[in-house]
Amino acid sequence: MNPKLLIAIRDNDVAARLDQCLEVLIVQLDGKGRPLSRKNLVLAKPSDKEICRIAQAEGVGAVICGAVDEEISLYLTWKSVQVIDDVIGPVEEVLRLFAQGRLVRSTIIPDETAKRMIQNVSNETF
Amino acid sequence: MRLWKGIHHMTALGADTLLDKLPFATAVITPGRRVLFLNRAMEALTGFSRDEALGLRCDCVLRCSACLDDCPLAEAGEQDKPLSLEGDVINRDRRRLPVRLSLSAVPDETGAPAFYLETLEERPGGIRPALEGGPMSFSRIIGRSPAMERLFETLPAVAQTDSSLLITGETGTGKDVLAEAIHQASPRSKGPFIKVNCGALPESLLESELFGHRKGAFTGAVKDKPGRIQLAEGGTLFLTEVGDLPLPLQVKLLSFLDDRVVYPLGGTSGVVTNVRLIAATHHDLEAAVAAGRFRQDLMFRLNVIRLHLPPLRDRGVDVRLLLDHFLNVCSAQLGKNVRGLDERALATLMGHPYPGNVRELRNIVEYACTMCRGEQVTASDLPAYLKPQSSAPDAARAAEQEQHAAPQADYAELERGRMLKALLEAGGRKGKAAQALGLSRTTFWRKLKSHGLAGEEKP
Repeated sequence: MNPKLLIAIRDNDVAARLDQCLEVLIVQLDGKGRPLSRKNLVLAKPSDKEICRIAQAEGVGAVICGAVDEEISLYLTWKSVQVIDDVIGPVEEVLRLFAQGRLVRSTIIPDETAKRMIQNVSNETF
Repeated sequence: MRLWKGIHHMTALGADTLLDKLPFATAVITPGRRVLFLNRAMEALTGFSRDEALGLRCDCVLRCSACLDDCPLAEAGEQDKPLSLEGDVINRDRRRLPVRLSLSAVPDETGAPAFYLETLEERPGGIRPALEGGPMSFSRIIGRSPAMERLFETLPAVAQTDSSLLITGETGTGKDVLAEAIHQASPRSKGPFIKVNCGALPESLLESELFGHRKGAFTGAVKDKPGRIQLAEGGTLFLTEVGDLPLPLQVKLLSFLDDRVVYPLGGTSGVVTNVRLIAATHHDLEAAVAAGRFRQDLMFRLNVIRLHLPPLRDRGVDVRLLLDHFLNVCSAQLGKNVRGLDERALATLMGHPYPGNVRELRNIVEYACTMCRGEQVTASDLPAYLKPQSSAPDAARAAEQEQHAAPQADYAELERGRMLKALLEAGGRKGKAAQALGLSRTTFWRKLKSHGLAGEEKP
């Protein structure tokens, strides 16, 4: 696989939807999956089609995002770009999992607030 | 901690079971924008189980465009009534679903929002993108042609605004259907959709109809009557054939558009209204302005957003699409088993210029379905003015054969052939030929001229 990936981001998390995303992070990985370089691109307006164009122009091998439309997902796959969608969690955690080869579709990484809520609810025997 | 106790109490009372019984997809959201609970319908819609979603940011779970544009929670907390927004969600199956989002705050004992109830209701009238080569659609309007696809792309945004809208297009292109579809897709869809035909009533009646009247304003005004504008409160007022609006009423409508206050006939005080205006016309308003029949300032106010519905002859592939669509609809409505058209009927219908546009096509198909006795519509099932005549003179027959032999031929050539044929059958009488083609004399004359078939005489 091409050791370059694109992550649709919002603040420090993976963006909820590719078509509503205004910023992407492009990370170049070395042979062992460690980040060599990274750059952020800010879009003038949200557009999944523009992200597809960027992905191809940058020659990325994988796109990581939250929700993605079926049509866009098929298009990227057709262009030999792996789509790892339905991902929720902080960007750095997601990157770490990807580098370990453990990031799959529908990965959810709860943040501290979510963990606290889960703990509280289980304590309340909800 | 109070929140947890409240939720625990809710659970003890069976509130989660109650929420599961709701027909709407419902989520309970904390003021910190985290998911606390999803009912079964919301689990089905989003693809997330309530355990997976617990504690996650609500925008990551619901994935609604209305939330991502501008989070509505703060606004919902300040309002007494539920907030309603239009948008779409992309669920875990990568399906894009048009939805109406309603959001209401549930206050605690201090009045501050304890949590929010968010419901998502699927909207059947939303725009559906083309899949597997199928047509795009918006409510009852379908199309695959580039002109219609461009129009479909703008409609969701147009529906979300409150700006005045002017729909133009020839008769039968679907202006009324489009206006209603926009209303249904707008945040005003819960309000009324009031239609007024400006060309159907005399000026005095139209004024009373639009603006209402007070008791005693004129003979017969025995009680106060609200006008159509007032009846459209909270919804949409649709003025069709606005080009036929008499000049004095144009002034009054202009005044209403300026301040949104309605002054009923015979009344001294005005009524403030909250109405979105959609107008439609088949006239060329710019020409009407130049001719002094329509006020320019009114046109500018109506023309905030303009949508043009292309005539059917410019919609290319849509003729066949609509033909099949109406055939299915009419066949089902009439309880018949009509499955298609034979080659000759299809060639006739594909070569027809449709001056009456989609309405004419629908009427033709309905007629053909009614007349059809088998499973396939034949040329003899078509209305008389479309039927190819076996006794047609040689020139006309040649034109017809040319049409059948080359269905892909240039449309102008086909039209020229049909006009020649009609003229020959009518013995050169243009009025009769125009009637046979379903065209007005002037349209027929214009077309004759454009095909180089007109002499020096005038229509």
